[in-house]
Amino acid sequence: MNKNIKLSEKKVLSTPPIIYLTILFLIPTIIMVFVAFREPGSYGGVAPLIEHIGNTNKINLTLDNFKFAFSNYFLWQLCIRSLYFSVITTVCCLIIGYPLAMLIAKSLKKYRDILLLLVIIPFWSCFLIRIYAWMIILGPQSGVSHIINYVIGIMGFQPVNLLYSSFAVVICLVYINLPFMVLPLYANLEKHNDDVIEASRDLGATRLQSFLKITMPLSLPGILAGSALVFIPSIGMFVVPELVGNNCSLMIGNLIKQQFLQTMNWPLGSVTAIIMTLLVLGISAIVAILARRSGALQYANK
Amino acid sequence: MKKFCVFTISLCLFKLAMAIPEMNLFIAVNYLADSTIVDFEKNCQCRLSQTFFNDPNEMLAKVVAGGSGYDVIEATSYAVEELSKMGKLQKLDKNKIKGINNIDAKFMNPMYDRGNQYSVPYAYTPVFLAYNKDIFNKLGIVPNTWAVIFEPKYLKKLKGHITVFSSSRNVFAAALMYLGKNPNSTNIKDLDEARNLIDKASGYWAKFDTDSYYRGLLRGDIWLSMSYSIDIYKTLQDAKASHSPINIGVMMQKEGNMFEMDNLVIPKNAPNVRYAYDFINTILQPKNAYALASSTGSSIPNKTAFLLLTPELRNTEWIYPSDMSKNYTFTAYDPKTRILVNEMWTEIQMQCHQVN
Repeated sequence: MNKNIKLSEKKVLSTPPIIYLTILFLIPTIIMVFVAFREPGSYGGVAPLIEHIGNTNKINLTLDNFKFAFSNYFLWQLCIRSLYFSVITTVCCLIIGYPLAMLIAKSLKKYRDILLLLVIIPFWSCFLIRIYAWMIILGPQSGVSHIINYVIGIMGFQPVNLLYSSFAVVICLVYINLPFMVLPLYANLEKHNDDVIEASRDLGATRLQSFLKITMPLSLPGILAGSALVFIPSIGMFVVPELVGNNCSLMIGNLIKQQFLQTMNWPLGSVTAIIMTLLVLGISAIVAILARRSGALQYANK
Repeated sequence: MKKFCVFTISLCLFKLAMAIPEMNLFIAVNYLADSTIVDFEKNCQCRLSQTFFNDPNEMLAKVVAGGSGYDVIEATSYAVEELSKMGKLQKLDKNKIKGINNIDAKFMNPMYDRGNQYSVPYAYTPVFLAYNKDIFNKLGIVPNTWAVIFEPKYLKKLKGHITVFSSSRNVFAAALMYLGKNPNSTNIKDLDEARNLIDKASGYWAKFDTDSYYRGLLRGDIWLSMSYSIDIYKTLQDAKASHSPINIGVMMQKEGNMFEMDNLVIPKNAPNVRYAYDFINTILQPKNAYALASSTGSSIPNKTAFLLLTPELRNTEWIYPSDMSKNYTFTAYDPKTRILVNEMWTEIQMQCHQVN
């Protein structure tokens, strides 16, 4: 199939995405890296690159932004917390999403579309509105809060605040990202051939064994795709911690937003954005290497 | 296909024929009376298109980043000063402005814009503490001082139920006033002291919130909030309409309060200057100032319109403070202080101080 496409056709086909990526990804990234080395301007933005002082021209490029960012421990605190929340979110989504995707994939064909639709329905309303709904669910006046605090009270603990806590942030992150885990997993699980499972069962494998040795390795591409789709957006999330979190559950996205919208320190914001990009790239690389080394992907791709 | 082309072209032509000039206004959310929009659009034969912001700093950030196309911007006191120093504003042509004598003299010739070269006062909003009455009665605390958000003896009882603004200026001003300093102080020693005070208290605060704190107050999970008068005015109306069991109280602080003095300015690259002046003149008319005050609860500097308001509204201490000597407005920081305070603020907001 690939061989039939001529080189010129390949060029024509790949031009639009290249233009798109250059304008909307490459150039902004270069600007961001450049801004990270500029000095913050007197009234926000960046200071002029070349300043005339008397007869000499001073070039305003500096490493101070990196120094400020790296010498302050809050940045590392934010990075670690963002990582922590994203990993928990990904794991929770996987634990909840896998059985759900399995259920949809194994159900009768005529029900599958409806079940998938049910997964997608939350997207019909703005996710901010859904977060506000969670604020009511987790608020101290709600039934959920009353029940949990009642149970905790019996066990002899102090009542807790569900809203404005790290717990609320993780719940909302899981809630928002769950469909992104379910959809790729479903797409993968649906293609599985039931004969393989049957064969393993004929050969004496238990249900658990055939799941662990066949279904799971085969679904690894789906797990990885789903995890990436959940992990990467949640690490940069700033709306959720701002709405349902407290001062101790802010994430790195909040710092970036603050630097661009409130304190107007673009260079520091850019430094933070670079750190976040590197963080995501680093984690993705580690996962990719681990997946390749385990050989599971090749097995699944066959 | 042919049909589709004809349809598209006729749609474009229709749009062109219908095109009426636009006046672009960049203004805070919920800050313009509906009747004023109707009035203005009728008089100028143009359409008013509003763009909203939540926070004066957000507005500044957008304008500094090169945001343009606005004819009139609503800018708070220090924003006027910063924008004018950056050369982003037009000097106002006083001959084109009618009705400026409606504005109370005490709001004219402000510190941040001597001689009102760039700005016309629009409305002001006191900043104070709003609280949950029942809980404060039970705890026996009277929030008539900023100490309630800074002193551990109060904070221990209120832990996790306090919000303060997410803007550095207001929180620093509150801390400075509590310490008995000038809320606009640029003295590094004062600012350091204020920062230490904030650092010690911030672990007890639920969060920094300028946008949705009043919902928390109304839900009952927030007991004490640094608040804007317009938000509280609206929240009290909502509470009444929804028969909420939550009693929200309001108190000014004895150390003093800030008020955000909002102004109308015309940016240098405004596309439709004529409409901009039309808009300012519309706003200066007493009936429109009255509409603003009675619909949004904004405090208006328009003395003619003020007399039209109901005595109830006029005598509300937290909307129209009787003693303005303890109410301060912001002036702009010099660039060095601005960067310093912003760095402090980044650390304050992002560092988590766990307290038990």
